[in-house]
Amino acid sequence: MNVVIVSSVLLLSLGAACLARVRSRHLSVESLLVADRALPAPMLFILTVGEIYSIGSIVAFPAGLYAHGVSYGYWFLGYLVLAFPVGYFVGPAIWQRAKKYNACTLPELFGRHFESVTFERLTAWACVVALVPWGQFQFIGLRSVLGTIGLSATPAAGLAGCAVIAFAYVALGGVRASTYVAFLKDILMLFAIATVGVAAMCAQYKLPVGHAGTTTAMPPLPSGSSLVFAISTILYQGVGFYFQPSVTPYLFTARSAQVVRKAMIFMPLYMLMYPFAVFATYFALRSLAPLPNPNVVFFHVAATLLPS
Amino acid sequence: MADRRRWRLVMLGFGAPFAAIIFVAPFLSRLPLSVFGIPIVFIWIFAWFPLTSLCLWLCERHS
Repeated sequence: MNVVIVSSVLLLSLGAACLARVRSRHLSVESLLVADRALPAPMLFILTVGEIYSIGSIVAFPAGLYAHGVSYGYWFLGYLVLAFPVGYFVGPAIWQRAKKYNACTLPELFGRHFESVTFERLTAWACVVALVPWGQFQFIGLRSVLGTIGLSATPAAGLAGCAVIAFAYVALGGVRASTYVAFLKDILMLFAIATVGVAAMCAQYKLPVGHAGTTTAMPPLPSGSSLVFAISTILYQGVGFYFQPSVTPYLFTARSAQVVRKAMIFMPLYMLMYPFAVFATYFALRSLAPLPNPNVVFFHVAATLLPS
Repeated sequence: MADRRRWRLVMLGFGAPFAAIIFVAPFLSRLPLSVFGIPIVFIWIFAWFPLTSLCLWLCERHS
């Protein structure tokens, strides 16, 4: 059954990418990489949130909150919510530079601004190196998800499979395909998080008084040093969020600087899914037996509360 | 005058969310209070999701 569901979602996503191809008038390099700089605010919003909120929202956030407590949740939510005010003020300037230099990639932007091919190549390598740990965390999460539903694969096979699928998206419709796939992914992810969160809330209030706290100990209040770590990391990541190579290029796809601002206004609202994830995690802490592997906490709550 | 207005908008869109998350939230995180079983610092951060959007919307409207 799980294989059928995963295969259906994969086919649906490839169908979404094909739809993007059908709706693209032509497939130039500019069309593939920056969607002809023509995306309106709603599509820029979908593309950007599709990239930002990945497997971390379902695996890493509940797992970190479960294992490390309040300071982890404060860091995770804090840097994300502060990234958007920074993006509101900095994003339009980045878009204007990309338009001015006709840049389709981040290295092109740097290379043309500083009129140096060497610097352009250096930036390209820096982007690749910076994306390695980010990709590594994505694969850790993906392996955890696939392992939980009984579809574990060797890392090499997983990497190869993901590379083929990702290339298919890009080859079919470029960054527009990413937008269409992101739309599908976001609908499924929001539905999953909201469903498990609501089920956790309902179950929490049905439990008899005194049941809470009998299983896993509640996380302690954050210490001074963990708060210093959280605050300094929030500042670093919140300010630097729209300068990272996995996010900045999406700004290039906007129709105008004003579109970037409009999309940023709505970005924090997407975070309203996180209360559901927090409720699900606190339900696991209060009412379920301790888990040896925190990475599966969200799935464990889903398997416990939802009908199989 | 224009600089003063721009500064106010930056304070509204950038300063208010930063103050709420960087200065207020750490104090709330040390309080042993909860709402619906969730530590109060999370309720505060959740409230700042729509409030951040509101601040940015006001910025855009008045710029």
